[in-house]
Amino acid sequence: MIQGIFYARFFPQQGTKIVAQSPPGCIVPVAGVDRACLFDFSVLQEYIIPRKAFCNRYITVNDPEGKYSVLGFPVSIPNPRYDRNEFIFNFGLVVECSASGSGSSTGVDQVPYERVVRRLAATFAEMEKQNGYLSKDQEHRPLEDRTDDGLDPLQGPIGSYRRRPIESLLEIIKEDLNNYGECMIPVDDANTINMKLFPHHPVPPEVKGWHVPVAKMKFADIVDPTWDLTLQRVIAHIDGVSDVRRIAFAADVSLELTQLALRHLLYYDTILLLDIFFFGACYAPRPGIHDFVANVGGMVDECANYVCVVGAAGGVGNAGSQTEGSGTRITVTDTNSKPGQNPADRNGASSITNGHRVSNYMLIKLMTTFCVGKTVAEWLKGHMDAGFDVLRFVDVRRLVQFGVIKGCLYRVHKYVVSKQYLAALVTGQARPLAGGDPLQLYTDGCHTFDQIITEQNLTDAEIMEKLKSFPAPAGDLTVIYK
Amino acid sequence: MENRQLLQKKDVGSAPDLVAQQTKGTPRLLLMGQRRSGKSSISSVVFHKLPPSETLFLESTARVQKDSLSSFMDVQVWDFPGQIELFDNPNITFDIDAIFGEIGALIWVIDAQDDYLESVARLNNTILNIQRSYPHINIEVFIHKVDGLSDDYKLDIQRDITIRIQDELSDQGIENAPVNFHLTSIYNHSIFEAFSKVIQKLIPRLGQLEAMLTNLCRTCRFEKAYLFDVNTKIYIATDSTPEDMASYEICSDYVDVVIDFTEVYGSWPRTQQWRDRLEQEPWQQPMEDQVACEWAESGMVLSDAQRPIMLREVDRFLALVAIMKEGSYEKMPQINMNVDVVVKGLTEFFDITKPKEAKVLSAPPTGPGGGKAARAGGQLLRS
Amino acid sequence: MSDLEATKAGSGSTTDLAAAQAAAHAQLKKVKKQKVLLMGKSGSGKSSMRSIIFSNYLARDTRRLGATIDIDLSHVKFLGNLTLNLWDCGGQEAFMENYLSQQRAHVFSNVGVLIYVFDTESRDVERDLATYVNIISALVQYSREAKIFVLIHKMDLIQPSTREAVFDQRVSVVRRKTAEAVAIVRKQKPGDQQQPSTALQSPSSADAIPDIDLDMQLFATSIWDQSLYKAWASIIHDLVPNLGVIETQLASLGVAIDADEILLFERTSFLVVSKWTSREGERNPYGDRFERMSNILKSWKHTCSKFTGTPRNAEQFSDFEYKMGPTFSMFVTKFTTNTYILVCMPPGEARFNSAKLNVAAARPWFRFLDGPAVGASPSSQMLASVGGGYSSESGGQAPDA
Repeated sequence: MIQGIFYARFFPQQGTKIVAQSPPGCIVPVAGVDRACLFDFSVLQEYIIPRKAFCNRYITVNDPEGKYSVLGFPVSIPNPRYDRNEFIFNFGLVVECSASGSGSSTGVDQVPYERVVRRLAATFAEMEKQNGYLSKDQEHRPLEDRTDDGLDPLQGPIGSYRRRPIESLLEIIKEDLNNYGECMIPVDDANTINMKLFPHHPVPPEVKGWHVPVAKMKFADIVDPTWDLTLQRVIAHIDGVSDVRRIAFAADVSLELTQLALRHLLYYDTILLLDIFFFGACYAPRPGIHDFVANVGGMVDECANYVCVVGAAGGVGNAGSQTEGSGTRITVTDTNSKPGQNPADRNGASSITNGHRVSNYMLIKLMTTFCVGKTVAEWLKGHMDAGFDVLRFVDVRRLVQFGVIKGCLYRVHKYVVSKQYLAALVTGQARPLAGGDPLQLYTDGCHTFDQIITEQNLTDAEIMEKLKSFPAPAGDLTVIYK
Repeated sequence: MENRQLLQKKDVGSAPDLVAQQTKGTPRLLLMGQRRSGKSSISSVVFHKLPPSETLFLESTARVQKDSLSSFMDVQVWDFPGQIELFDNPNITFDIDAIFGEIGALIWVIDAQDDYLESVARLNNTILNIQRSYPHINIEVFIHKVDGLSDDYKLDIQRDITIRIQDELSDQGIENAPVNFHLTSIYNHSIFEAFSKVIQKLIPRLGQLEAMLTNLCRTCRFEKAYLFDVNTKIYIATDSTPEDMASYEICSDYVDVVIDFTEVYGSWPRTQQWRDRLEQEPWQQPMEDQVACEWAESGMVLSDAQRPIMLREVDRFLALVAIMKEGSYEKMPQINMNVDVVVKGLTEFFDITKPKEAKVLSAPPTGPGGGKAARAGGQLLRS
Repeated sequence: MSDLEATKAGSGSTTDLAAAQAAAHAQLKKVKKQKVLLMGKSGSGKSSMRSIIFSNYLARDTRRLGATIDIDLSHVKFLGNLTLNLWDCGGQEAFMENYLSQQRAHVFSNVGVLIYVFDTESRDVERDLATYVNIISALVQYSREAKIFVLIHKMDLIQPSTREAVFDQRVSVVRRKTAEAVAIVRKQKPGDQQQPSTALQSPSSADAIPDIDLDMQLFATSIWDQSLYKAWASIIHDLVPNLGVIETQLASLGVAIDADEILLFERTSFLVVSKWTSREGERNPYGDRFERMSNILKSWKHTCSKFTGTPRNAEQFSDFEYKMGPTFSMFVTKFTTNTYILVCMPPGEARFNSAKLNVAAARPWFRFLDGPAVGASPSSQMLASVGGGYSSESGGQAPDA
């Protein structure tokens, strides 16, 4: 919420003064308005019109009581035509302080307002440079100097140029932004102030071919035909199993465009990126596992609802292996009931699965037995041998996914390093062997097996096989788990 | 101005009087141009040492203003009011011959910050009128008030004006008229430099003067040497190395510094008592013999690369100023001897080349000493 | 050459110098920090004069300066053992109110010097004076010992013929107002036996005003001539520590080398720190020569920086000499790290050369000007004889620290 908005100017004789404010009396008292000022202007004025070094940059300052933040962008326009060679002004916003500086918790997110402040500064600076919009108007005097003798510019002499006074302009901006989150105000014939409060998101990470996008919401409900066509096609193939390359192929969209589309979804926090699930892959616990063991916030129950195999049709079992045909359909709905995202759906699911619920003890045991150097297959075999038919009760892929999303597990990636190739890289002599193995490029230790698998379209075993026949001296190649 | 004693200023009653005021044998500079183009400011700044900032208050010249400058050579400067139409004037017929007859150079001032088309047209008209009868008059066009204009813009204006004048002249069948162009401003040294160029053209046998300086520079390893007229800071000769504004500026300001010091510390006649004390034990010598050089000499070492600057008075009006190469300050005594020789040569040069009749005219100025300019000539001050 | 005994005349004063040097050391340890307030109405020229004096601006460059926002603090190291904390206070009404209310104690306590600038061009003199009275009251309240310098500035805009009259008139008004301000403070202090109204009753005569507390000087100034240097040299003069020592040593040096005048300049501002003049030198008709020298050397410095392309504040020349035939000789040379020295003396080649050597030899005696930490440790010789070269026997030993 914008608590107040103001226009301050530096006057060569009087100094820093407020020229316009909204609501009236919010920054400096005005006659006839009985309202306490938000803060003591005289204390903050040196930050509102600061010395030269601070001009032309975004400045926020908190009032001494820590209640309000003043967001401003003092602009200094140097030009010999001004008295004292400079015109300095600031359009500022007053918002509640963001608590403790970390931003998110109780206070206002100031980032969206920064754009507003910058836009106001840029627009009015440009208008001032073009035709002296701010400096030549006689309305623009300090508030206390103005006499109420019918100086309202809207009632000026007939034929004279009329324009909206800045005070009312500020009021509209404040009201519109507070009520609608955007405003569109014509200032004069040529200029309009268009502003919108955009929520701020960080730049999403890069999407790689071997990532697996998992939807965080039911896209089917919100997609409408006006959406970007590529995006629609990509969304249709997000199933929580397919990797990005496969989605691109299935949707008949180029890989780059697919990655772009997914990044877009990532920006709005509608998907997650995981890696491909293989029974040959390794997972290991992270510190987050403690919360799982302690069942913080009913985590284990949530897990149970998510991973326990539906109904008596125990044969369906291993969802992880279903990647085509009717399986796709099921997994889409499956992923939509992902942990923590869709309670209604989850409750529905839990009512069905109640009968076959695996005990918390067993789930924790399953979760904690992942370790480095043990593939999922080996892990599975271990439990089977121990007499627990995991596949009948638990969807292993979902269990792993749950662990990764909740921060209990991490994927142990597999890399291959060739000493020879590294040495060649260092000396600058690296070149792919003519007609040689394309795998060599991956042997610098920077490429995961996931990448090799998707890019070369090989299985883990095939890669290992090829590496064995690699034209390298014995002991040159090392496989690293990290 | 207190410091105009050297420049006997005469206001001529009205234009036709010009003839009566004729002075034979004195080279004359004619300042012409539109009203408010800056002619009076130029002559005030160059010949009367008026601070440029104060020229704002100069009133426009209504009558021909004559300044005679008695220096190493006597020059008359006539400041012509812009509104006087010399040719085709229905009211008065000017004695054109009296005006242009002995003129050394016609300086036409054009205000570069103003619309100059009319001025250029008048200049063309003037050139056409005098070119036939006096083809040897140098026409110097000062494109004036260029301070504050960008370098590109300055050159554009210069090109434009040059083309307009040359086109017009060649249309009239005049080729290779002696027209020169200078970009000038009173707020920097450019006006002095331009005047220097103008004056140099009036000096007989300038080439020999320059050869002497060039020789000196080579012998003493000087970067640049100037022969200054100390009153006006116009340089009348320099060595043959390429000229640059920066070295002229610093030399010219150096002359100023020396003049200022002379004024402050050379102004009062020392008491006999003081003199007696200094001539007694342990010195035992008359003051004159204690001094190595009877003329003013000065040197300064700049912090930058230890480049020294030296100044040596030549006669009452002239001073030699040179920028030396780094590290040559230690050889000062040797350099001083060389400079002495050149100064002697210069003095002889001026004795020979000075027009005979000028001697009559250049009676040393009298009157109470008080101004900067008057004191600049060293001998005046010797007690 | 007959100049073998050139310096005998001066050698007798060696012992004086040594004594002075010893006395000096007692006071050298002190570093002085001085808070200097620069105040006055907006646009009166405070920042301009500051830029000219301390930042080597040309007068015409100051046109480009913007307004000072709030207070511009700068620390000017002036000589080694004196640092000026210069508070350039923006003169806009809003700031002035702020200084007098919110920041009153912050601004006005521990002030060494207040420089108050009046603009001769100002239209609203009454209002300016009212502000002035408030400022003086605040100053007296928090820094009773502070010295006050009032500059009647922009005198160049007054007709030369009336300048003196205008200045005199301003002086009397300012003195009257100062007394009023003092009276106001007194009134606020019960128990002070001084009647508060005396000042108001005798407004016309400046002498009758009981402003006994206030050390106040007034100057007419303009950035376009040397008057600015005169005012600032006076301001600085009172702040320089060990001034007595400097003056004594300068006098000894002057006598020793037969000089007519010696001026000691601070290195960057070229303000005259100290001076000595012989009896003959006193006959110089130019009373304003000290500030004139500052002005000349400063503008010369500017020319040099343009020529060499070095920064304005950098050192520009190390040595200058000028022999005006049989009239006089003079030289200006780098003296200590923080100072230049100008010596004007009678003509004569031998005299000149020995003086130069002696000034060089005197350098260690003035080394305390460079900073409190430096003692005159390396022993060096004063008053070398000239003819036989620079020999050490005839010189007195500088005392070790």
